[in-house]
Amino acid sequence: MAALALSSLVHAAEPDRWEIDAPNSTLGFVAEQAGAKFSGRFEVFDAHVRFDPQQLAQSSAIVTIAMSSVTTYEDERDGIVKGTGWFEVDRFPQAKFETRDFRPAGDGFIADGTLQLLEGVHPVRFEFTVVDDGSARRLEGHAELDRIALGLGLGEWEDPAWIGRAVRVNVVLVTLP
Amino acid sequence: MRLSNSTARFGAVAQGLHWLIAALIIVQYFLAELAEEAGAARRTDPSAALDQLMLMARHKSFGITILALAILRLSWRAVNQPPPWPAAMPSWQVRVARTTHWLFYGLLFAIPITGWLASSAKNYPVSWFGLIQLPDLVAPDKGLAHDLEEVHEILFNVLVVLAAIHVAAALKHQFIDKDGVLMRMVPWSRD
Repeated sequence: MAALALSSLVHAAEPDRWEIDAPNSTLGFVAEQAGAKFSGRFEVFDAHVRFDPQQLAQSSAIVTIAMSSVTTYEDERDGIVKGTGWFEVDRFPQAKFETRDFRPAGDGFIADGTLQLLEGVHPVRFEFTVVDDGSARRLEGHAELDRIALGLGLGEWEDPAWIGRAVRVNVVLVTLP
Repeated sequence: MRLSNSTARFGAVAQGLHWLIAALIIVQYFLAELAEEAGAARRTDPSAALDQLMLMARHKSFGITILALAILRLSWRAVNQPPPWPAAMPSWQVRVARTTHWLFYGLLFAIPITGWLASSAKNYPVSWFGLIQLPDLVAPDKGLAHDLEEVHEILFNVLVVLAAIHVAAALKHQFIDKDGVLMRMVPWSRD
């Protein structure tokens, strides 16, 4: 009984789940090839966010990404990035970012979490800000990833002179008013 | 050889730009052809995709170089008049020659710029030899990218036709008219 009461108490203390306005939320990235930065994004992802700046200890976020929804606005490159050596979307249809570790930093917050990608689990630091205009919340954040550390584009694509190591992930999450 | 043009011949700057741009255009053609072959080879050889990326990166870097040289060339021409046409040259030939030259200058801008536009529309932004990234001129758009690539190629074909006329005319001046027009653009000819 006591355990049940405690668990419901903890559950009650959890921040409400954000109702995400999917069409206005984006999960994008900026990568580099042949010395030129280009952008892409994942069109389908699910953000399960329970975040409240007043309840950082109880906050959590799980973002599940449908890897085959990646687009760089060019079919041939999309084919490469979904294929062997990169996302291998047939074998690994999903990636998942998960965090429960939030702390304030400057004007915003830092979340230390893990990214489950291909067969690996990698630590990822996500920095973000949240603006609440009273009716809707807007989260903007980014993470800096190293594609070699993530096991992406090894072998023939490994040379960072042609495909840069650093990939910046940019996230915008907007809630429904 | 003096740097600036005289009334008898082109100087070192005009000649240098003329021959350098001509050589780069030939290199550009082969880079584009090799890139296209690598693109076709990708069906059977996945590593050809990286070759294609490298070849296209070089093609773009040289293309931007040509654009910069074209700006330099027209600026130089603006302050340094080319030698006059031979007095014996019929006026219709002068008109054709003038038109051909201005079309050349136009293409030296239009071909690199349509290539740059196509790169932007394709979301493959241009970097000059990996040193400077150029801004995108348009947003990614698959249909527009395809059309711009077509225009880029058509303009190159126009350039090839003009170059054929240009070379044929230069040889005619040299061997039929014997008026020394070709020698005005040749480094080893005497002043």
